[in-house]
Amino acid sequence: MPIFISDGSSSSKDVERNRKMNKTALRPSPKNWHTDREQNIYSSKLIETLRRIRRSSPKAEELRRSRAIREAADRILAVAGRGRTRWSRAILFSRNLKIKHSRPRKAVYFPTQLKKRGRPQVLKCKAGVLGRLVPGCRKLSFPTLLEEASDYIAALQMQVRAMASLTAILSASGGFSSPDPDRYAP
Amino acid sequence: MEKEAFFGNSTVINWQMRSPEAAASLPNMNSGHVNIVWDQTIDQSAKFGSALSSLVSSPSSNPPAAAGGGDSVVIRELIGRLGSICNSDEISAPSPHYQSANNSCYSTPMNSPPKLNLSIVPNPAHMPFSADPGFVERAARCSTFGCSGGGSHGGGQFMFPEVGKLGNAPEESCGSGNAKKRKAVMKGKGKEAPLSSSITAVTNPPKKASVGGLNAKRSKPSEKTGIEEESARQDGDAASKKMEEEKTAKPPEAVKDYIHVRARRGQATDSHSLAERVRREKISERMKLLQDLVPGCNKVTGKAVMLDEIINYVQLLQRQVEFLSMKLATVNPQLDFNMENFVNKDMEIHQNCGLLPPQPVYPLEVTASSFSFANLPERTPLISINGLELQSQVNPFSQPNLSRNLTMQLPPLEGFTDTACQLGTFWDDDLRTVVQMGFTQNQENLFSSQSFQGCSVTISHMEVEL
Repeated sequence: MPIFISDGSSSSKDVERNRKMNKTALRPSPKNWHTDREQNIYSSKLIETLRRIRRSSPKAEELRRSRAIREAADRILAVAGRGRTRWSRAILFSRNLKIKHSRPRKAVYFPTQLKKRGRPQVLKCKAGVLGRLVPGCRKLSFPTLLEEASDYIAALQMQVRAMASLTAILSASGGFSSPDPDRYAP
Repeated sequence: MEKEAFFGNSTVINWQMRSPEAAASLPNMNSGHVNIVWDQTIDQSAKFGSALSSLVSSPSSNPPAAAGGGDSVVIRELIGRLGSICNSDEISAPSPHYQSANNSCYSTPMNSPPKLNLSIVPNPAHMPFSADPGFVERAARCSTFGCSGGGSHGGGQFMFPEVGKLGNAPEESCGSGNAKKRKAVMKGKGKEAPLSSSITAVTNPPKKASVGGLNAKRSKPSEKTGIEEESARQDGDAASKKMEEEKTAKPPEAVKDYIHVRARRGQATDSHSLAERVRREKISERMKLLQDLVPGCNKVTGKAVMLDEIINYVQLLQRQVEFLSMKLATVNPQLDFNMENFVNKDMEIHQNCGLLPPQPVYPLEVTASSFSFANLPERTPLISINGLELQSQVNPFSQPNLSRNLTMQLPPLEGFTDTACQLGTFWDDDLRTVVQMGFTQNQENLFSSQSFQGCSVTISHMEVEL
C-alpha cells in the first residue's frame, strides 16, 4: 500500500545525484497531480478506507465519521505525494504524534493595521498565514513556501475532484451536482 | 615603486611596463609604476584573467591609443588589451613582452597578442595614496563579481592612479561588455582557504562584510572564483573544467550546492544585488507557477494580492474537502455493494476519455443509468444474470480483463447497447461500462439479494487485491 520510494544509495556522489534528481523531480510534481492515474489510485484507496470506516463504526456519529474520513483523505493524499514534499510528510507524521482532534480551526484574518506597516511586513505576515494553512510549512523561507503551496494546491485540487466524483457516484439518487473545484470566482 | 608593500601580500598583480613606448611615456618609472604582480600560486589567476576579459570586452577592440593620450584612455586601452589577452585561449609560449610571472600565472588565457601596450601613465600627482584604500575597497567590491577591473578575487588587485576614472571604466565595461557571471559550484572548503588567505589586509574589511552577508547562502570567495572562471566563455570552459576536476577530487565535505548565476547586461553586478536578483527570480518563477494553478489570477499582479488569492483558494479547497468528507460520511450505505463497480466505471471513464474533463462525465452517467432504468425493464432478469456473471469475473483494477468480460457478454445485451449508443456515441469502451452501470443499477433495485451475492464475491476479491 505505501508508495514511499527510498533511495538506498550510500555513496556521497549518489546522494548528491539523488538530491539533484529529487530536486528536479520535485519541480514538475505539481503537474503530476492532474493525471487521471493519480486520481484513480486516490479514489480507489479512499473507497477502501471508506468501507473500513463504515464497517468499523456503523453507529458512530456522523461528525466523528466525517472527521475520520477527512483525515483519512488527507493521509491518503499525503501518501500519494510519495513523501517528497514537506506538507505530505507533516501530515503523515502529525497523525501519529498529535492527538489534537478537538482543536478548532482558527479563522485566518488579516490585521487591518497592516496597511500602515511597510510592504515587507505585509508580505511576511501573509506568508505566515499561508505557512499556517499549508501543513508543516510554518517556518519556511518564502520561495520554498511558494513551492510547497503550489504542490499542495495541486494535490488539493485532485483530492476535491476525486472526492466529488466519488460522492456523485455513490449517492444513490445520481442527481447530485458536485461542486466544481476549478470554478473559482474571486 | 612597488605597491606590494601597500597590498601587503604577494597576490598583488604587477603590471610591468615593458614596451619602449610605455617607458618613454612614464616620466618617473620608479614612482609611477603600477605594478601588478600575478600571483603564480593562486589557481584563480586564470579565472582572474577571464574576469578581466569580460571586463574589457568592449574596449578590447579599441586600437592602441597614442602613448600621449589621456590617462583614462590609456587605462581603458590597457584594460582592453589585458582583456584581449585574457580572452584568448591557452597560451602556448610566453610573450617576450611580459614577465615570466605573468605568463606562468596566466596559464590558460595567456594566448596574448605579442604587443600589449601596458603603458600606464601614472601621474605621480594623481597617485591618490590616501584614496587608495577607498579605491582598493571599491576595486575589491567590483572584483568580487568577477567583472570589474578591480580583480581582487584570487588576490590580485589593480592599482590604478586614476581612482575615479578607473572606477567608472570597469563598471562601464562591465555594463556594456555584456558580462555574465556565474556562481561556481563549490564543493569543499578547500577553495575558500587559499582565497581567504589571498585576501589582503586592506580589502579584508569590505570583503568580510560581504562574506558575512552572503555566508548564509553561499560563500563569497567561491562566488568570486566561480564568477571569474565563468565570465569569459572561451577560457571559462577550460577554467571551469579545471575547477570541477579539483572539486570532484576533493571530498565533498560541504555538501552545499551553488547555483550558477549570470548577471545580465546593464545591471548591477554587486554580489548582494546579484543574490537578490537570484532570489527575486526564484520567487517570481514560483509565483508564476502558482498563478497557473489558482484560477482567475491572470490579471493579478503583485505579490501581496497574489498571496491573498492563494490563501483564499487554499482555504476554499480545504473547506471543500471538509464538506465532501461530510457528504461521503452521510452517503447512502448501499454504496458498499456497488462501490467497486462504480469505481471501476469511474476509473475506466477517466482512463478512456482522457480528453473529457471529469465534470461533464457525471451527467452522462446519470442519464445513462436513468435511461436504462426507464426503457428496458423487461430485460432485467436476463441482464441481471449476465450482470452477476460479469461482476464475479470483474477485476476492477485491470481494464483489459473488464473489456474482455464485457465483450463476452455483449451479444445478449444488444438492446441495451442500442440505447446506450445514443448517449455515448463517441465512447468505445465507455459504452460497455455505461451498460454495465445500467446493469448494476437494475440489480440494486430489483435483485438486491442476487447482487449482494455477486458483490460480496467481488468485495472479497477486491480486498484480497488491496
